[in-house]
Amino acid sequence: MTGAGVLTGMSPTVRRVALEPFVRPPEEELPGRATWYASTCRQCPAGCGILVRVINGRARKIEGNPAHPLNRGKLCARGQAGLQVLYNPDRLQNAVRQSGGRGSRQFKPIQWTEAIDQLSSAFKSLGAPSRVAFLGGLMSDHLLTLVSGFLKALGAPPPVLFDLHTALEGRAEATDMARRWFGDSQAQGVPLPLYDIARAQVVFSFGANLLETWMSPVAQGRDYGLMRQGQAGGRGLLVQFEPRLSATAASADEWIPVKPGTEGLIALGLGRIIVEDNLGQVGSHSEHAHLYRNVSVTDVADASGVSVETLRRLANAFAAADHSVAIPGGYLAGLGNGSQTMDAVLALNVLMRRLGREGGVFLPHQVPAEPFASSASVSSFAQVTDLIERLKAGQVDILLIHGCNPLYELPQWTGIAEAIRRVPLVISFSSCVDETAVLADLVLPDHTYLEGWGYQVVSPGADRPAVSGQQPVVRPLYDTRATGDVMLALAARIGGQVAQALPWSDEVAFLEQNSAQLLGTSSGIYDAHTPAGFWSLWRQHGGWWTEKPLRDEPEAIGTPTGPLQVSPAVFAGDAQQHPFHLIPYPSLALSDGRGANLPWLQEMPDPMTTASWNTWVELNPATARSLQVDNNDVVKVVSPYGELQAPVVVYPGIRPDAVAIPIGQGHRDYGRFAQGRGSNPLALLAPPSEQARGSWLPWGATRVRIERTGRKQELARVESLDGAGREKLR
Amino acid sequence: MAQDVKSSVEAAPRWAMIVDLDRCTGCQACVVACHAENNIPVVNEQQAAYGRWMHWIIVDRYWEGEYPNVKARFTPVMCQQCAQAPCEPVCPVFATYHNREGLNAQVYNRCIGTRFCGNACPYKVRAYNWFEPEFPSPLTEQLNPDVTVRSRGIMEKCTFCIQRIRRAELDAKAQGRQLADGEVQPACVQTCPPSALVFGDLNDPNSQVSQLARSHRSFRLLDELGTDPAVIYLKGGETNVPG
Amino acid sequence: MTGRRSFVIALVATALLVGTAYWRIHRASEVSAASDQPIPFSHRIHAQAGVQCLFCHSSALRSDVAGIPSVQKCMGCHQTIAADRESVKILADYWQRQEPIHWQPVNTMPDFVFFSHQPHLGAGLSCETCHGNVGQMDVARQQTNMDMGWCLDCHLKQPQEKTARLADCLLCHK
Repeated sequence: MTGAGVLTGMSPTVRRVALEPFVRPPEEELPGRATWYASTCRQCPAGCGILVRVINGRARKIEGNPAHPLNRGKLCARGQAGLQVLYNPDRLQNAVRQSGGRGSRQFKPIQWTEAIDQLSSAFKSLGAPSRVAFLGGLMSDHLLTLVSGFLKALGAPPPVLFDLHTALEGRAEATDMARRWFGDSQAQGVPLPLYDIARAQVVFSFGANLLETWMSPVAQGRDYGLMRQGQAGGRGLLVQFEPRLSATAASADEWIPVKPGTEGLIALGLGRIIVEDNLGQVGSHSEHAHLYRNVSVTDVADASGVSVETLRRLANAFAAADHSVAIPGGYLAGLGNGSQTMDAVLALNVLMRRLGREGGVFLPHQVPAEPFASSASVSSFAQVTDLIERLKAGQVDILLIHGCNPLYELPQWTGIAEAIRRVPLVISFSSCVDETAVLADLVLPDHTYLEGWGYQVVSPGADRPAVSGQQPVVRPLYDTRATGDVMLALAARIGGQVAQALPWSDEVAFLEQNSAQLLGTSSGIYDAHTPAGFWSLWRQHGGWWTEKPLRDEPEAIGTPTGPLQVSPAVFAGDAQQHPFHLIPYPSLALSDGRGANLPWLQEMPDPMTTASWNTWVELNPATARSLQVDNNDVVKVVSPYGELQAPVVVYPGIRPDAVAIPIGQGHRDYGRFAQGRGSNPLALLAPPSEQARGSWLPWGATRVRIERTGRKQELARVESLDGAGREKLR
Repeated sequence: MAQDVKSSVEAAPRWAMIVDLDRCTGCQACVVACHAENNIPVVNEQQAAYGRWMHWIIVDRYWEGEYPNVKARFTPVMCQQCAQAPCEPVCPVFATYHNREGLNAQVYNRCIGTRFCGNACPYKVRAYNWFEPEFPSPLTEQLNPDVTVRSRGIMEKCTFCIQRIRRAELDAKAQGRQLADGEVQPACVQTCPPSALVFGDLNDPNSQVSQLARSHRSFRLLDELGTDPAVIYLKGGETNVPG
Repeated sequence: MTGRRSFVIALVATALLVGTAYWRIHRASEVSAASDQPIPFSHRIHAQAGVQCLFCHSSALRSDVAGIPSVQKCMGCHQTIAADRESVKILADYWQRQEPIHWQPVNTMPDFVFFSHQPHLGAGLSCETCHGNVGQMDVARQQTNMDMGWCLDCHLKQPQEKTARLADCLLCHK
């Protein structure tokens, strides 16, 4: 019968399905019609508001929430792919124990009661409260508050927050920079600066891939659109300063191919020219002239390879505009002179008096309630290294890991694998078995974000104080449990001070109580008479924000009194043996690798290479010619520390002395779509010098050499390499 | 009755899309949103390397110049819904035709997979299901019930999210009113962060697409072929505001 | 092989082919027999009791699908009414276990057709017009093979200005 089916080309036109109605229908559901739930996207730290289309209890589409002040109804590719986080075929469906021992990848389901039992007895038998460690990554603010409260009441050290995405966007470094220049506004610290791109006439971006993965790409993308075609009286100008032409630079009017490490010098050079030639209409520059006292423009031109003429032209463009802004980006954080460079870039805004002015630099206004006073600030890399040392020294008995994958995200020389192995009890809260979960004893999967509760203070902010709310849009698919609830259950079992510090029966009670602290704030988009009413409106709207825009004007109280300086950047590997600068960059699809288990993101073409499903090495055409390699030739990239092999993409938009490799592939675990494809360029990162070791993650400070292998590997690209006009690139 | 006015042929809308190349940042949000909305299968690496990916919208990236004076440009391309579509006359079973609303219709259940249409299309925006699409459970739950799930042997392409157009028309009719400008938004238009994509009715002279179509920056792809596309591009690098 | 023999073989093969095709197409309108349903539900009994179609299939007026009543709705009456009957006991079991009842679909269309109940009910059609006299069925059966020709039979009887839209396949096939 099958044969006849094939011959006639018929397929069954009626599927054999059953119609299963609700047992208890939710009030708001109309079968066949969608109900939209407001929540928050958790695919990156930005915290965009989403509306999820749910039909008969299944999430079918995610859209941006038009009312949300950060993204205003728009959403990026990763946000759109969120459905596949929920319906991923490789999700863990229960709490599991790695029954075959660590590394065996054999997991047996266990009851949650058993898991909590084991955890609470482990906590109760701790030698000292300091012997607990919590390593967190991309975590909701509400969970961070619960976990911090838990650890504090226990007497344990606070959680260490590190994930590769925030490292690549330089969030810790940007927060430090803001603190240095603008001081601490309150005990909790200064939030990240806001760059008013939408109203800027000139934007100088120093390594900020603001249209891809840096900070809030959706809000920045929206701002970019307005800057281009939405301003009365003209079209904005974007100049991108970086060694590799990123997708953001592709949208720029000019790309300055900066010699890696000299970005700060260029900023100083521009400032020097502005002061020397008294450019701009902001009055005298005498107040800030001292910052540029030691800058010689010709020296800057020599060191950076950007001519004096070009520097002059750019300085004039920046100063002539009424609204211009200079943005220090994430790429700078991977360099040895990162913080000095960021200072030099921010100084341009101070020099041109752009603080608190349209098209310039702002600080977000705090949300007027204690639980939301500031958003999570990530740990410095030094704090991460400290934790690893403690683990290695056997000072930790229980390690809890949530929202990050350190086995994948940290270079091997940090010793993270050995460190984790020393801990007697390792718990992972991951939804899928990733590289880190493979070293865990128990995996207690958290709900995915579409099934869970929470809130996220939007940071860097929108144009007004905002807290983005998160609620389940579907019932949890499997027997997973919210990590917040696990911590609360644990606290109750441990008793004593810990139970007192966390008295809530579940995390929803915690969220209701916190949200109610905004009750009575007249500036919000809604108010209510009772906390229950407020909570209801909170969920309907998807959070809370003010009716009107409200931003703070930064005061540069931390302006240095002496001259600015940018030391030369140090790169691992000598220039003879390793002639190329390695630029690992966060992939637009996979970001730091967390998107690799989603098929939509794997198949999504990279905007600049149109390639997908794999890792590649981008070489300047002249470099490729001199190495005698071409597209799809496999090359070996060798650093002083490691090596990898990947096919070549001949890439016109990169310096001849640099090569770039996207981050995100090279997973050993993490599900069928992620594992066994491509390579992880973090394997190439060399440790920094002895004295600097541990204080920063030098992801942009390694040099490599390229070797031919003679093999070929066809990359899946959308563009055809045989098309007309390709001859130029060969 | 007021409700019937819209169903007469003369009052049919003429759907069109504006693509503002000065706003497009190449972020691929449209590509993924389209996958999510239209149940587009993922073909995996090997088939994608053969060029058998199924994207209904792609963002072409063009390089201009040579290092160091090199620029890159993005051009999102989807089915141009040509009024004089070369793909329509070549279909032996009339599975593709032009409808009254200016859309190039693809009727999946008529298609027998000769692929003449894909061959004829100068924009190469048609995607063919060489294999049975796979959605490993529970990814089947992500499927949009408003869009047919195609099987092997069927050609597919951008439909301007006809399901959204129909849904909006149905709702408007049920409420006894006309569709407002901007009420219908295909998935790509809705998600685009810089608002580079705009969708609407060219028959309404006051709609946003009509206004933007009159811009001095406007042009159409491969206009010289006489396909009369319904997608109008706005040149990048220049301001829309004259003077 | 003689010409006649090959002719016979070809004839038999064609007959097999056509027969299979016919069988497979018309399997589409195969009725769901009583044994197919998890509970032997009788529309006749309920209609005689005065239950309106829209009481159970409540989303027909506002949605694409008519909907099947939730277990909670059934129990609303059957907690007390006819609670001693066998079928009602099976229903009560489902409710006790909080499990949905896996009803077998009776009226179905291929998945490349988009039909919406809302405009049809909005136009004043009664349920019986398409679904037949369900109120007198002990076992629900699809009354007619709901193919395109059958839909057009009715639609082409509409006034001219309404049928003009039918020339567009995209009206029902998206």
